[in-house]
Amino acid sequence: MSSAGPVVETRVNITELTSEVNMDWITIIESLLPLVSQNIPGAAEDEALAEIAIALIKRIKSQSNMTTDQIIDRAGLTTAENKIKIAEEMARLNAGGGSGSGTGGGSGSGTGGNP
Amino acid sequence: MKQRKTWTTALTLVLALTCLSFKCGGGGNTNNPPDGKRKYAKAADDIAGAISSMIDAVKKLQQQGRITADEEKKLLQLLNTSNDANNALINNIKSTTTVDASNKSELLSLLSQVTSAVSDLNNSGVLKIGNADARQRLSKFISTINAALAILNQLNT
Repeated sequence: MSSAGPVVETRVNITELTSEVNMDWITIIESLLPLVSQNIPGAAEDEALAEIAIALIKRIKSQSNMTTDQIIDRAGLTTAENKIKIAEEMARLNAGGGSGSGTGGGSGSGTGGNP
Repeated sequence: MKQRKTWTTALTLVLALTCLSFKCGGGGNTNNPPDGKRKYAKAADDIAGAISSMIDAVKKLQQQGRITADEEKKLLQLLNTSNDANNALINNIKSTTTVDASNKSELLSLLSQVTSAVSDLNNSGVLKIGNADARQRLSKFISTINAALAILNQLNT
């Protein structure tokens, strides 16, 4: 056994490292959210909102793995889903899911389907 | 205030990634059709995603009692208008193979409708919310949409 052991050469790709760090950022925040909500009074409410923000971050990041047509298709699908979500939430509010008087009148414009 | 830091960090990341997603797309020149179209597709997708997230956030805030039902209704109506305007823009981008002088004016017209709807969403909806904390949180989504609109506004140049 010589005192000088085998030399291990380590090469670090800075670009890969940076992207890994960025990925870890999201993972870290995501994993810390439940801990924060357990230990800080009132944080559970914020966890719900932070999860919404994280979902948006993931969505934007995922564009890099998609073709332009896929991005456009997803955008179109999301706007269609948004219309449904808005209509459902309006219905919930009008059925007494909230307080106060409503200012009714939803817009009824339809959007053309894809060929 | 740790939870506020978490929330701010998450939304700051959204903004940073929105900006970076366009930078990574390359191009930026309307003479480069594939990259040009991709950039606008990304921006329209970001707006659609931000509107979706904002609908979810508005619902949560009302359930938590941080905004009133009337405030939520107003926000949903304005979000609906923004969503319709963005949908028209998406349909136009979809049918466009290259962004050039022949279709630029139509795209710009649709873009101005999205910009106007989002401005209305901010001025008549978000900024009218009584709870300062809820107002501040929803403003972050408006910032994300505005970051995407800034990219689309390159059509003007």
